[in-house]
Amino acid sequence: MAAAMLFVGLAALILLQRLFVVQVIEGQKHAQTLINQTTIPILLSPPRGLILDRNGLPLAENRARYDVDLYVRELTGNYARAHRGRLPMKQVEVGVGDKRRKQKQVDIEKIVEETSIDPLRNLGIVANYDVEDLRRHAQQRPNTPFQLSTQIDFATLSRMAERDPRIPGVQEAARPVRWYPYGALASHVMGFVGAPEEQTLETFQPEVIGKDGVEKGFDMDLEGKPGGKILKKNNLGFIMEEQGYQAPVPGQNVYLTLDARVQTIVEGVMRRVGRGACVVMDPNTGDILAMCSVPNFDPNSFVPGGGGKVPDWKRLMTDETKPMLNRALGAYAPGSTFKTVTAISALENPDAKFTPQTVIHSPGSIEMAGRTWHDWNPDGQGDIVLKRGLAMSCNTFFYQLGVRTGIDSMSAMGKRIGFGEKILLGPDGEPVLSGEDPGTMPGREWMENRMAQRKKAYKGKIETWVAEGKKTPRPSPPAIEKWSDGHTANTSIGQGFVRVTPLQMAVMLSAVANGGTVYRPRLVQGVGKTTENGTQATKEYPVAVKRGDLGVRPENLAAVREGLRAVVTEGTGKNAAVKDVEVAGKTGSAQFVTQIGGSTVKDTRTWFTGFAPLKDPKYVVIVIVEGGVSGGTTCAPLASEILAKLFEMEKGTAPQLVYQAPVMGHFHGVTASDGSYQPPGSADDDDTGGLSGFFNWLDEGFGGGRGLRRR
Amino acid sequence: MTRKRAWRGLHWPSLFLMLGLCTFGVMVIYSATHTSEATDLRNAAIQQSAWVGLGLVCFLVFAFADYHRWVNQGWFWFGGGLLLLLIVLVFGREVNGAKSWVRIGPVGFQPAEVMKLAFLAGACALLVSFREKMEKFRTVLALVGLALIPVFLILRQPDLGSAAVFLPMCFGLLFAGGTRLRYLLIPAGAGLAAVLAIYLYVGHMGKELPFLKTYQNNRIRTFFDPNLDPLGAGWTIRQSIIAIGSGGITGKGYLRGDQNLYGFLPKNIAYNDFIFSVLGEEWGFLGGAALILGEAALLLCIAWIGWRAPDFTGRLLAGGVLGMLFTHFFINVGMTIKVVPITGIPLPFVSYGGTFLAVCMASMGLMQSIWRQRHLG
Repeated sequence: MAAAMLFVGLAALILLQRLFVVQVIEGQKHAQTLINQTTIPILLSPPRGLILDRNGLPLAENRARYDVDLYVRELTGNYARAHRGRLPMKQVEVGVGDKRRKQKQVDIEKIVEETSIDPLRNLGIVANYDVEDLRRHAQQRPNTPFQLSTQIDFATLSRMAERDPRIPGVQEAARPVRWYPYGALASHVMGFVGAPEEQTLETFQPEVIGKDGVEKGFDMDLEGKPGGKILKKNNLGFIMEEQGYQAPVPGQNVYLTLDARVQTIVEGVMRRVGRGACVVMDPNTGDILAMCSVPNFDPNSFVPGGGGKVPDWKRLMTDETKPMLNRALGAYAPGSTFKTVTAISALENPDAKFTPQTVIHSPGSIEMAGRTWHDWNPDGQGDIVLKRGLAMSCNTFFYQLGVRTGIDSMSAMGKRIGFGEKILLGPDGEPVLSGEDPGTMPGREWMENRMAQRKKAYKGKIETWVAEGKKTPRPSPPAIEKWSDGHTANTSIGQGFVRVTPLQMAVMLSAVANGGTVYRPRLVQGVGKTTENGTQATKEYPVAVKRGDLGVRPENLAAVREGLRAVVTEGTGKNAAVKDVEVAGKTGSAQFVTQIGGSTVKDTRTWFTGFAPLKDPKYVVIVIVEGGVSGGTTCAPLASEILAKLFEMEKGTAPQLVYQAPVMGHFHGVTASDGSYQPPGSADDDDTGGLSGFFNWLDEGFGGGRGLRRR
Repeated sequence: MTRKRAWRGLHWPSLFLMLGLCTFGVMVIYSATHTSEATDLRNAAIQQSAWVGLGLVCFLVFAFADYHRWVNQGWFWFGGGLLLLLIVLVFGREVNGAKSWVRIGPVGFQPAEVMKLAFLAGACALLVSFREKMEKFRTVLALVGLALIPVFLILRQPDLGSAAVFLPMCFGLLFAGGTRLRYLLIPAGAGLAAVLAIYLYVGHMGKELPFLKTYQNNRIRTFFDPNLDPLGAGWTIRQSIIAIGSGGITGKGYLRGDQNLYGFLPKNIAYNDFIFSVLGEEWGFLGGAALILGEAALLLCIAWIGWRAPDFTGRLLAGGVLGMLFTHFFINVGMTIKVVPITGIPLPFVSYGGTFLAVCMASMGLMQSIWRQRHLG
């Protein structure tokens, strides 16, 4: 019997040893498996922060949407158990191009069909999902809910909650979705949101991310932090209890400098134009009160499942009027509006020996720098001073004035204002909106850099040519180009190489209007969160940040303002006049040749840059229209109407804020060209007009920009 | 013998161990079933308490009677057992695909469990008459032949687990009877070799044994690799390991076993065959080890009683009971932690089930009877 006792003891030891391994050594592992199979972690999306105008009016907010959610893991797990572990499989082609291959996947569509569609139909819910989406979701994001049916109404939701269909993995959910209550209003500033590219599997991904505009630039602030719920489920997949809950942290609000009323006024006027932009700035602070670009788009139509019309992506992307392009940040030849800059450069440079009283003989044409330069008026203006030169926009006056002042002085003035660089920056120096075009402020240094670049490109061409065995004709070297008085003369009337954005013009004119202070333009006042004690700012963009000073004596600057006033009272900009308000400004137009629909056309860019009132200016208004006739006939009336309505608004007749339909673009005003005419505005061979900004946007919107997104 | 002396003669350690295990069993059964939706299951702990009472009656009857009586009437009991097995095959109620229940009025019981005790009586009777020929191999053959009768009938139900217990019982009986060791060691070695062969044939090469049903083959296969079919045949063993493993050293606490509460451990087996999984999850390694040590201690008591038995019959009985209870204990605990393949047999004194509990307690009564007479030999 001693042997039997030994045997029993040995057997007990075997069991103990094994029990020790299972419970003590492998215990953690099994505990984890248990957690995995009894809990469902659910991520709760935070509501996105609001975007508000300067008066606290939300321009982008959230509204509730009721959905029927499907949790893929729960559904398939339960289905498997009910069917003895057998899941329907399906051959699916995955991958692209050469990597295409067949893969066996769980036929999720069939499972959904079998388990969920009928019970939902009995509740009056139509599953409106896309089969392809469902399959992809099941493969890539099985942990996050899939929206089987979106936008069920509240009555249906209540019915579903009442008569619970008890399909494991299917439940109702309310979630916030982006909503722009004024539709297309300030759409280029808002940008839009979209579903993130599905690149990570297990980590949290917000339902939408900003893809353009403030939505993109402030995505990190607007996004908030996700919350979570841990649910306990039983072996059949039914939820037994809630184990943990952490509320999501709502995203922070972005406070803009825009005034929705001003924006509405501006857009109401600008929507009559096929293509154009308008910036309204407070000259005393640099705050942007309105930034409008037409044609535009309705950001609601981009919100995934937001109920808007499915955006006609192809149309928006291929429409030659470029509705997605923010023209207020696009670079254009400034034309005669640049004469203001020439004037202040001359007054700032003592070597120019120029005062507002200096008389310059301005005939119909002059000989200079080896060629003849014409005024638009064949008779010229005769012996005139600055005021008359500005009022009549006399070219021969400004050719001479520009050469007298010198390009160095003009480039320096351009640098003070911010021409040739991005100016809409946050305190950290980062661009607030993507797609801002720096424009071009030409000069000697600029020309040298340009030549150096061309020489480098030529060297590269030669090397390739040699490496390829000199089979083709030798590439020709670049023409040696040096800065000349001719270039200076061209620049002084805003032709040639110079390119500015409407926003840069607004900053320049604000400085002229406010007595010489160059402010950094501000679009965003700050970022903050709403707490019980009101709003708490987390990021502040200080108001009225000085960039520098024009360096022009006040009395001289006053003379420039008088000249700009004369433009409206007696000169080229009479159409900009507003009753009882002293409007000052400058017209301009630059001829531009471009390709539209395969044919070469003339597409004149017309400007009006103005401010009012003359004393204590309150508004700077920059209007640009593509395909206009001239600044005086096309843009001055628009500026007049905008200013008139702004002053009416001050008296208390504010415009009604309503939902804005998007503005469609057109090419009216574009005239056919035989291509032989080379207007000054298109002399530059690397000119892409305002389109480079659009291509930037394309690159950042669809290329590396997403990959670099910080998390 | 006065009444007072009768009590004093009991083997108290084994009695307390038995009662302790029974109490523990009722507690764990409650934990395994208290959240169940079925009324039958929810009342299981109360039922089990009643059966502990019934078991105690059986225990006392056997403890205070002379064990020779059972052996002398051995053939009668054996025949009665066989009759019950025949009745169950004809009139039995099918539960979970096996005809193993007989119902007389309101009381149902499992003849296969009763047969274990009846076989013990019959086998002892046989061996007592073969007492002088214990060294002979035909004694072994005779005993195994006797065992094969109930085994055959039980396999017809079918109930592989219960049938499998008879062989180790023979083992215990022969060992206690003093047969030649090689008669025991050679079959044991052959058994080990068979297990190895089955592993290579079924588990490793993926073939099927022709004399077993497909589900039985699958059980063998999933024993070697539960991940083969995590939702199907491997489900139970996988969930059992998860339950026990997640209990860790100290367990999750009484009534706190998620694995059991949320139904991952199938409700209909958690309170009987897989009671050790519930116990391991809630009481941890400390509780699990305590149970193993408790059961082992009880088995050692039986061995001790057998050693001190006054005669051959007593030794035989102790050997047989030891073989039976040991097999139940080792296979039941072993299958929940993947030491042996899943075989549906209960854990003595702990698992839910009236018939088997009564049989176990009656067996312990027999042991007490032997102990009481230890000085008479």
